[in-house]
Amino acid sequence: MAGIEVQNLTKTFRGGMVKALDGVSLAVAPGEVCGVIGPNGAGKTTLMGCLLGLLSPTSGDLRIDGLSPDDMAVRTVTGYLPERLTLDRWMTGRDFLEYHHGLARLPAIERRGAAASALDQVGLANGAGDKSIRTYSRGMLQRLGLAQALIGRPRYVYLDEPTSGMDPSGVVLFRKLIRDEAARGATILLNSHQLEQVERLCDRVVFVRGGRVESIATVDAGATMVRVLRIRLARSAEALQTEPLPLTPVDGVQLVNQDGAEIQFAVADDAAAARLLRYLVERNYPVIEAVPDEGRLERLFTGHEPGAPA
Amino acid sequence: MNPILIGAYWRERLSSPVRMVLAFAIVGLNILTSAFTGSPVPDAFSAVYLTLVLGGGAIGRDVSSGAIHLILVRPVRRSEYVLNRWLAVFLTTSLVVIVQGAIILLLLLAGGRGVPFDMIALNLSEQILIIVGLSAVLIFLSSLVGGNGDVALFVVGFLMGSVISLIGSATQKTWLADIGHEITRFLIPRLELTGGVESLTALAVPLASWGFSVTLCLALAILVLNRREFSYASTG
Amino acid sequence: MHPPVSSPGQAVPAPSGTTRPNPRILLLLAMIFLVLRVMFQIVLPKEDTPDGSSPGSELAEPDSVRWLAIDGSHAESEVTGKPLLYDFAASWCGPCKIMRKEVFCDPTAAATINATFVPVRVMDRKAEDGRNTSEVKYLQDKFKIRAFPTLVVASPSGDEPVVIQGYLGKDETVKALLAAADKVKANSPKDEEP
Repeated sequence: MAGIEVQNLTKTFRGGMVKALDGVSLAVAPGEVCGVIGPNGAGKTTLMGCLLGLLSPTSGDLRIDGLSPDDMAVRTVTGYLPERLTLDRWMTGRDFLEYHHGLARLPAIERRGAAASALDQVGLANGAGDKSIRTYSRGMLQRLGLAQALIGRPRYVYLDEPTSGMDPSGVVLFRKLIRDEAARGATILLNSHQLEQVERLCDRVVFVRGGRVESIATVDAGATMVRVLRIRLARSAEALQTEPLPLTPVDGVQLVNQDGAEIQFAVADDAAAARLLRYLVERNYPVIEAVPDEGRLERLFTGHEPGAPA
Repeated sequence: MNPILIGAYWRERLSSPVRMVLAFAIVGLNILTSAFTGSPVPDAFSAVYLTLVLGGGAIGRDVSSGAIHLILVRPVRRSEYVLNRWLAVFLTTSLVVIVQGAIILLLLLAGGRGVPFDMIALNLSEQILIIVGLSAVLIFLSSLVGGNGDVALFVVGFLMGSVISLIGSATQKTWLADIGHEITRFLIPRLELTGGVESLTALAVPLASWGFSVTLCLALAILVLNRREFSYASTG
Repeated sequence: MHPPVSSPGQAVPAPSGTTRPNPRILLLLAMIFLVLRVMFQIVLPKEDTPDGSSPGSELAEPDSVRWLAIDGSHAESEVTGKPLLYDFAASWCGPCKIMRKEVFCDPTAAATINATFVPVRVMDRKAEDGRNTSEVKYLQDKFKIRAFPTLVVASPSGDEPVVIQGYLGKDETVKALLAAADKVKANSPKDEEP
């Protein structure tokens, strides 16, 4: 199988005193979108550094399409957006994209067109591309960085905290771009602390802790995401002397647990949550708080099940 | 030769006001000195200052800023990056020196002074050889340290060599003076041409020395960069 | 599973091989240059100016003293009866340059030297070329030269030379040279009248 193959990867620093990766094994199939999550210092960035050839493994084997990450053929089909984005601030956005198009050894005849198209893709087409990068906001820098990573439509895309500093419209745009890249068959490795985003975009999610892969979860495409909404009332439902709540008060909502003034519902999506709140308010339930309970990926961090005591 | 890397380097240097001011100051001073003294050639050592100004931090700045990460994940060999940085440094500085020489020549002609073309040609050749050699040394030093630390390393090394040489002379220890000389000669590889070249055999040893310094520095820079790790994680 | 992706319009063939090739050619060239340097230093004759200084060095530029080459200086000394004055110097030696400027370029001092001695400049070339000629080495060893500048006043036989180490200042140097000349002449065997 081609794609990304990692076998027993170990990476140490400072003469072996710091073990950032400890026997990591993982395979990412061609065309897969794979999320990598984990607490700070887990080794996510180190893993990405090894796959990009920026770091040399201490031991273990890394293959991308059967080749070493250091191979020129691999670099030709690689795009990368680092967590700490450093751009050549004396360039314009367009210059920067043309520069990276050139570094990627793509045909010069396509350069201007590719840069213009990339700027348009990330929403920087309205003259922003001709301004100096020095004038860019944090979100614009991140968009430009994303454009640079995707220029030339690489087969392997590595994204490290790609939506950092982006406004909500940027985040929506990012999701669309990743879905488009995935649809054309790119293999994407995504490091992110935005768990909801990882869950929405990825086929599989790798949870890394202490330099090891602790678990790999498959995310079913199209499956309804179930979230838990915790409602707190001013007084317990019994004290209110209302009718008992039905198991499914509205479409897409299911009663999970009721404990005094706290009620937990499983909701399918935001619309279902909104319908539930309207239902409760119309029946004069004194709702004082409605918060989502932790999501499925968050539970990888905390080990909690929905409805269970914290 | 990678015109993308060289072009980007030139534009980056041109966009630095401090470098441009310093370079103009050095060139301006040379031109004014020639205009007042009538000397057809600037001091060959000014090529050293120009190379330091225009070539300092050629690799180190990319490393410090993290820009090198985005370059090295592209299909760019590390040796290609090093050699193109060297090319960019010496082509930039040589171009400035040639323009400086042309301006001095025009001033001399306009002033109706005699123009010793052979001396000018030899001086220009000497300057360019210094630039090519020193660029290689700076590239090697820049592969070791971040930012403009290569310039600092060069200055410290040169001072150290000069002090050792002086101490050797003062304490009548010729071996110590020799060591000091070797250090300064390694840091500024040069061929003295303006004193007159008696024959090609007189140049044989200095030329071999110069070639050794240049090729060794470039090879070492590539070896250093091949083994260097680049990641925020490795520094974190 | 997503469909395989195609990479768009790459008109040039994709490069291959590692991104970290070792600089074998450069290392080989460096070795060749090093070997050539060593060979040239051993094999090639030295290209010196008549007084042994390197072309282009300050000490090669003419001062007012009529320096002779090492070869022929003995004969000149024997014919004229004047003692030899060896100026052991190096191009990198600062005091040598000061002495040249203040003594050898001074018309009066230079005239005195020209009248009293057979002056020979012996330039150390180790810094530039890595070695000296056999003549320079012989003289340095003979008079045990350890530093520069050193002035040696000697008879052609070289017996009982007077060694003046360092630069003493213009007047002191000229005084010391004249005293040395007297001493060497006094110690030399007297020539018989033809």
